Amino acid sequence: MATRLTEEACFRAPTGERDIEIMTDSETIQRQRAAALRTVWILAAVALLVYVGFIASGVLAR
Amino acid sequence: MATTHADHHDDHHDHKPSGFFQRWVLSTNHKDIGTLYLVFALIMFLVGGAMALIIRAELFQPGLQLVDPEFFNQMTTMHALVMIFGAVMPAFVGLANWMVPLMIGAPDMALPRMNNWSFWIMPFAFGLLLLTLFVPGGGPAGGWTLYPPLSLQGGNNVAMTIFAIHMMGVSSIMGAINIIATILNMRAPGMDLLKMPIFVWAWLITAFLLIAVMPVLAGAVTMLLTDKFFLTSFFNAAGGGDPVMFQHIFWFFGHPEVYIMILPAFGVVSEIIPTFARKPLFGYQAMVYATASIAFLSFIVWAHHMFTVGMPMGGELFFMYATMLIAVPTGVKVFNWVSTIWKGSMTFETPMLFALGFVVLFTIGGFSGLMLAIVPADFQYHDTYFVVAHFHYVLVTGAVFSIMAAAYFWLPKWTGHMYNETLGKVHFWLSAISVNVLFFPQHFLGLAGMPRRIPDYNVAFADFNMISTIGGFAFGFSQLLFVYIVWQTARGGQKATAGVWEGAKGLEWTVPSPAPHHTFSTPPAIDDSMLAHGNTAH
Repeated sequence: MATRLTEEACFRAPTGERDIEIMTDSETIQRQRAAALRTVWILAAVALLVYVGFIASGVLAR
Repeated sequence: MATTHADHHDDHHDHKPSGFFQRWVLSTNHKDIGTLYLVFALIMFLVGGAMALIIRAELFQPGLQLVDPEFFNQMTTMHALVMIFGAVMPAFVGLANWMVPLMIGAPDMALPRMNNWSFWIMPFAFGLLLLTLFVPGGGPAGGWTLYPPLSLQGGNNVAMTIFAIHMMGVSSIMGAINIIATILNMRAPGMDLLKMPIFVWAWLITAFLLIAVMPVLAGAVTMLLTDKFFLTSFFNAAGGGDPVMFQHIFWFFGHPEVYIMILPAFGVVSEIIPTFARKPLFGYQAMVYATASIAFLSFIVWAHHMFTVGMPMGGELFFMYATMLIAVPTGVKVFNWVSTIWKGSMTFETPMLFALGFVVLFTIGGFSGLMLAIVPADFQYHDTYFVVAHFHYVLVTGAVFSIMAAAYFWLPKWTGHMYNETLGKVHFWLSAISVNVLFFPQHFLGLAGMPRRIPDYNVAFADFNMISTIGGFAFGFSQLLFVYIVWQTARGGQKATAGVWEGAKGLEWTVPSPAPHHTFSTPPAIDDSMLAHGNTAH
């Protein structure tokens, strides 16, 4: 089971952090978030490649 | 699914942050960020609508009455940019933020901090864009398509507009990445891809479109920027560049952009019609494949926007037939919606009225799109009010009507209160009638040859313009009623049940209304019989 903030700690934590900590309640959800992070990096790399590639093709065509 | 009801966990841990700043500025909660997106979109809808009313007021009669032509051009440009990037897209992202995690049984979006960042870029982007109206020389006036060399002839607004577009692009891309990561990774166990609600499917496909084309727009406007300020000649004919190349690149982004604004609308309507017809959606898998087909075809039709620039005959034929091909999967969708209604036990609450209005009126926009796809006919229609009528049927009676439908459909889930049904129906009928008075005569104006983006026109076009303006003001003021209904519902009213609608199915209807601040912090157990599309065997 993933680490879970105690109720008291939840109240002390900044809002955003507490929202995120609640998502670590379940091991399944924690696993899902790790996989999601990989997806994010792949998609971000694709977006960056399209952007840079488009401009680079314009430069090469000149 | 029964086990998901309200989640015991949420009963004890539904602590909303107390301060305004903590709750709304630092929020990482998908529901709060969804609300922020929706409120932002509504404000931008009113701002863009005010610009449209300036345009229509000027066109009420021939001659120059209210604004000078330069300002008129700024209004046409800004109206489009604000409505597309500030109203319609953020509204759908807001709907996705609110509903996708609820529909797939996820506790939140995959990257909640990035979600916050995606939203808070938007007010700065639009602040910057709207600020251009107050700089010397005014705002961008070359049309939302930003075609060079015209778009580069502006003053200070060029850099500001391009920077604003970059920020909108970054926001959209981050939002899309978050949605894909959420849908692909955060689904509750048992929520297979082909068991997801159609709205989720539509958004998954839309998000891929966004990631594919927003960087293309960013690349194109970066090259515009360097042409303007760093002496490059990507699109400058005098330096050996090609301005037509910009049009190709722009529409490679621009046409999928149209589908970015309409695929989520298809998803919304596909949720609402089965609910109020009390039947599972007809042809669930066909709907998914049709959506994917439309998305694929959207990448190979861009040049139908520029048939008149001069293109080889083979190219014109290819883009004409490819465009016509889109009618096939779109027809599948319309057929499936009608088949879902067929022999359904229908009731006509406001969301259903807007959804049915969507099916009828969007189809009119689709048909005029087919007319525009025909190359020789397009030579007549191009740059006329026929085009304006066409895309407003698609985007107003299509995208905007579906957003209205979604707002009425999910408002009880968001606020915990039922909206005023009588006022909702009045809003629908006022909107449905006035929007046709506004846009239908524009078909006739276009066929008669009235060009778009002009502040003055031949007296022969006076009558239809007058009718269109009356419809415009009626439609514009009708939307104030919507604002009142939303405000009234948020403040109180009859308590909504968890299920809200008799025919509602899906995970989102198993949590109480209003949805607790945290939902599904332990994954729900999925029972196929309760899925949104009934007992679909895959």
